[in-house]
Amino acid sequence: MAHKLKPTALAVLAATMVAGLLSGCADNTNNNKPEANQTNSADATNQANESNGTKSENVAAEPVEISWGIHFQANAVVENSPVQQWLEKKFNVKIKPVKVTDASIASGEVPDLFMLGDPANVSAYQSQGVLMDIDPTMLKEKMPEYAKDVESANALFQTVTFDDKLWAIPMFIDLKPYDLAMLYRKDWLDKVGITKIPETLDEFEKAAYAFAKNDPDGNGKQDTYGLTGTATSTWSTGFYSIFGAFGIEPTMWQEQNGQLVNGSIRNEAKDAVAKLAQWYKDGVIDPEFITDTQDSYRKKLYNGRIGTIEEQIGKAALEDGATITGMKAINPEAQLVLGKNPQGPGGSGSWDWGTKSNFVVLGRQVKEDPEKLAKIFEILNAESNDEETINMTSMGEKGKHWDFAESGATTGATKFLPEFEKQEQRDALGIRLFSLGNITTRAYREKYSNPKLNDVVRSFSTSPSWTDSLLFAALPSDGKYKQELTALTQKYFAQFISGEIPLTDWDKYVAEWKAKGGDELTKEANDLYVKQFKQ
Amino acid sequence: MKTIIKHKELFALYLFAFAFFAVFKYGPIYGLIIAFKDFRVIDGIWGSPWVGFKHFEALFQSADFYRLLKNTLLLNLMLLLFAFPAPIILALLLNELRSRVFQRFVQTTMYLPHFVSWVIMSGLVIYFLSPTTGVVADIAGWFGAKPVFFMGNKDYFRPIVVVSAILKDIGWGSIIYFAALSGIHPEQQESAIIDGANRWQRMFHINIPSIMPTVSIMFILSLGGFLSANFEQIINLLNPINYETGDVIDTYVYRVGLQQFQYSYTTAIGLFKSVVGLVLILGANLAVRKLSKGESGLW
Repeated sequence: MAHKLKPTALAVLAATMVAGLLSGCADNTNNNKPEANQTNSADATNQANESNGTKSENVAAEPVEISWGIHFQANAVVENSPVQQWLEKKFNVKIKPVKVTDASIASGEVPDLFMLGDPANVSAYQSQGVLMDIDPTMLKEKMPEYAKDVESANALFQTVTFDDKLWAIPMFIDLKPYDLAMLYRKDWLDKVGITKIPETLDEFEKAAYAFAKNDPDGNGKQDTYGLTGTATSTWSTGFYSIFGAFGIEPTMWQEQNGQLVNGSIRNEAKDAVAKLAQWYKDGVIDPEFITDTQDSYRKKLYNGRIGTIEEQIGKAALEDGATITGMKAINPEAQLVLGKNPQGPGGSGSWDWGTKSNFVVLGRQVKEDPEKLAKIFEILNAESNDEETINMTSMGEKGKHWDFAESGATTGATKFLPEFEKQEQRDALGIRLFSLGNITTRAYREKYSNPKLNDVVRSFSTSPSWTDSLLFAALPSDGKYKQELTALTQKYFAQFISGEIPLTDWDKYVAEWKAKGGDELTKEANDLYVKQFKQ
Repeated sequence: MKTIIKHKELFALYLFAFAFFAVFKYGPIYGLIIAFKDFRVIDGIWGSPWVGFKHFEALFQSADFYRLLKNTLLLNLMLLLFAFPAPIILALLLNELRSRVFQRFVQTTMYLPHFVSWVIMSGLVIYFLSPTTGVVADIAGWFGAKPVFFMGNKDYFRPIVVVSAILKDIGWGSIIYFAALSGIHPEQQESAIIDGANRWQRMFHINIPSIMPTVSIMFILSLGGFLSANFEQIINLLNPINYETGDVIDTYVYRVGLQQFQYSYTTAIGLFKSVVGLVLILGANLAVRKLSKGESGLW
């Protein structure tokens, strides 16, 4: 018996050995990291001296050490990057860049300064006790210009106020290049004889039907669709502009007769779903809307399978927009044109994040260290109103990594120079890692934005027609129910639209939604609304 | 002591394995106590308040729990029924091939999908099964069949999982059975041939009984992970339409727990799963020992 098992035993032994070795390796690398830091820091200061000669503070004080959670979209920490060295020199600090994940927070490693994407994250982290509460008067004192600018988006403070304390510095945005509008294949519209870019839901419907039925690619086969959707997006059910035309967005809280009602269960949502189900039945909606993502529906547009998508305005506004260039790369003949979100019985609109941007939060340990807190506010203020600091952290060095799009200009659109056009190339130098994004003042934004792009965004965005009435603030029981309710809505909507279950089951869906926590959330939403948001 | 010195190389090898299990398997067991606490990061594992069986009560009272348990059990049962024997059959079949070169070639190409991550594999599966661009629809079209939207029908979810799991890991899983088959002494085969046994008889009377101990150990081991199989595969194939049949305990834990800091609750689920796994392992081991009259089994 033992004889026969020998190969097995050997295999198992080999596997455990490899595992043992690997775990040994992992430990080693961890141990080496701090050493590497120390040896490099001497070089660091030298390089920093060369790259930046502007501000030479005479430093007698020991540099404060700040652990800094890098921008959450950056994949990995780059140790001792040039931008980090620049910041260390300028503010006389020692920065320890860390990548923040839920798991790293759960293991108790809380950075001094980091950024979160949603009030829900702030709420979750706060309930774990890892955040420091922020004194609003301190914010006004230390960052007067920003405090003044953010006032127009004052309600954002309410989204991160729990137990009557402020737990994050909200960042704001008024002109959003990521607002959604419709993007059409202009050459297809021409081909099917539609000369006017659709503006109403009826016109949109006509175009979508024509794309599906009238052979817009002229290959004699019925192989095209009007549109597809993203049934599995993380926050809602796709088809934002169609729901928008009926005046609601699934999963958003909106006021109706003085009460907040969730868009997922309103009768307007039923009307929109009925419309979509009809389109699906008539072969206008690609059946793969269930598995499609924003990425895959762009590819379908490029490959001539569908004729219209919902697209971020910034990606399609100008000739160098990502979607425009993507389309040209695959089909140079194709023409794309932006259109407004169609006007329906409930107005027009699409998914809108409102003035909300990301949030700056501080680790609770900072509270015991006033010197560190002062330093952090000094850096935050510089990231808000000091052009040099903002540019260095978000774009790198002028003339080397970026420049104004128009040569010789001193304001307006900027572009990255060759070799730094890709995000990875910039991340390697630490550009973006320490950028806080929309904490900049209005003055800065005005100076560094592209007026042409701004015009397009202004004319196509339906914002600020509406957004979530609670500005996406987290409710106490969101953690318990929200994900499951979103999944429930996605499931039912996909089934309604694809005709798997009849729309007469709508009441059953609403009842299930309410029973599975929806009623509880509705109550909490209204309480919060009355307490903190209602004017 | 004497034996330790005598076999010091073997003990050195054992130390690696011991360290691995101590650090990565036994150490973390300490954290299990948060299943009985309301874990808060700032209070730490020990400092968080005890809450008894609160999380288990919440779990068993949850309306979704039985759907999740049913999905998990059904899916894993199907995997056990179909995906577990597949590599054994493959190994037995390939073992009968005359051409060594062809045998090695088939073996190697069948390993390959094992090294592709499920993220990519699932993308391929979804693409192949697409009713409009997929290769499956094309082939069905040659026989005049109408394209089926496999991903858009909840009844197809389990077969898709089982078939894709077999496709991906059949080659890899068969390695161990190959090793067992190559351990059979050639004399046995030769004497059987002299006695006039044909291929079928040799397979049923020599090959299969010889690899049975390996099969039963693999069976017991696979039962240990019975409820936690194939998370990566399932999460990548899930969509709103197949939620009803596809949502399993692990995907629920991921959605509710890891994304929303509900560590205590999800640890309770994990603990429940482990207990079920332990019961299954013990039961299977007992059964195997009884059936083989004490000759086989893990202990």
